[in-house]
Amino acid sequence: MDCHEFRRLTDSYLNDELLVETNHDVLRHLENCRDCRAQLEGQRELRFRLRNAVVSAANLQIDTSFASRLQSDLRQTALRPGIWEQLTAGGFGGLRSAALSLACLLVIAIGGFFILGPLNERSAANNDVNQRGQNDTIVEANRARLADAVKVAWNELSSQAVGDHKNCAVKFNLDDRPIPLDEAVRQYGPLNKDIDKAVFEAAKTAFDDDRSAPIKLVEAHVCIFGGRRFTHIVLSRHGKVISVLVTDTDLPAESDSTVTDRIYGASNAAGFSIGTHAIFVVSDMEPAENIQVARAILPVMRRHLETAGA
Amino acid sequence: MFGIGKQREKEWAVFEAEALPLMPDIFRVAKWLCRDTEIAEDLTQETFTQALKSFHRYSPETNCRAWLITILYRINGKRRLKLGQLKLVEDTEEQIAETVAFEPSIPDHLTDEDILRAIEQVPARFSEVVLLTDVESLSYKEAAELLGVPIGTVMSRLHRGRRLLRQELTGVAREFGIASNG
Repeated sequence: MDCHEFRRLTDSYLNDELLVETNHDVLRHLENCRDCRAQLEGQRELRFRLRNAVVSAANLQIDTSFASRLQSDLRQTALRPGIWEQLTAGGFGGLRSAALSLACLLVIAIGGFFILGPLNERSAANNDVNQRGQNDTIVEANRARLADAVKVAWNELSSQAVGDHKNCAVKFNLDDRPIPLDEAVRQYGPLNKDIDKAVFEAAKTAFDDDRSAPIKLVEAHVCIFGGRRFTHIVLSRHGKVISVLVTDTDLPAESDSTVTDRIYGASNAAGFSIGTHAIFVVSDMEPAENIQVARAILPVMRRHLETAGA
Repeated sequence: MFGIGKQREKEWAVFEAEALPLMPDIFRVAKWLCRDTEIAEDLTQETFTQALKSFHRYSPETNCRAWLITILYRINGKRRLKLGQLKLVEDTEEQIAETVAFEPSIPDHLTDEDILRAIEQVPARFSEVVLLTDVESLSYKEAAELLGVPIGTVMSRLHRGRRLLRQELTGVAREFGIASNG
């Protein structure tokens, strides 16, 4: 491949749209051509800066109260039973049995009205049904509120992890001195023993198919940010800092062992929880790469926490 | 029925995990499209309401972001059609030039505001492809389907959009006396 051809393919290379063979040709060319490397870096930088600028632009941010209102409306719509379901609620199987049950109800109601009993008995039964319905609605609403509260708290935890990543691994701007892992094992228990090695070995497997930029272990320690203690493993790849942060939480997970991803300006936080621990992978990499690392370390973290009895 | 209720909860859980976290992104694209917060909120609301209704059509292994943005574009297209704002643009952009010039790297010290100002100066049909692919991470194929144009058109618009953005940024840098490092 020559420079002319490379420049024709630069856009597609940046967007990861090339075939594997062409990608290899590009990489081979880049190894030997300083001008094209510089040009590619410029284009990559522009892409990165543009993404950052748009994602963090103040006037493009969603209003949080609008977002939670819409979320709650959608939830109600999604979980509200349809008319048919309301008709068939209570164990009837299909159209025929529902029609049959309706007919039975009608006969009982008419019979009750004319023959069997006083009107107030029927009214009491109706009240009972209504009361049960109201209780169900309250339980459902409380469950929804609890789920929302967990989500907000999980978001808060995730943004603290991002804060720790930025202030500790990127800006070295923490109030308290980080504690080396050896010391942390003595102070805070066996969770910290060899956690850096376990995380590093697992994170390496996330990019098995691209060995051109191996992941590196930079350092590991325990640090405190915003009053919360994190076991912090700092990795790097392609010159980008990747933080793996482990912290205690008594929050029920959004969904246990499921990796969820959130974007905070230029940073992404992919998080999951195992038992009483929340684990976040925070970096400025593409969200998909971040999630890839989180997924790679999840089973290893589960084993590590089990072994540590944490 | 108990089974249906459970099924509904399960579907909601998937929607909540896959679609809802993208709400800020969908709002961002909506706001970029219409430049008005209230309209962007309406578009976001309608997008998610429609997405919820047709969530059974979404396949989990596909790109949820692209799916939601496609719904958003369709709704916005209808809105603009109602307002008489939608014009059919004849596609006359050139294929990527055979000879691609060396592009200087962007000048140092530009702020996010400079970059936002510059992208706003790029004509919409080029800037939208840059935003869809570079910011919203859509593939060429997804962007092409969403915009209803061939993949080649997405590629040429992206190339031209990036070049125009670079030119705008060089202009901003010159205006403020910032030296280029390229």
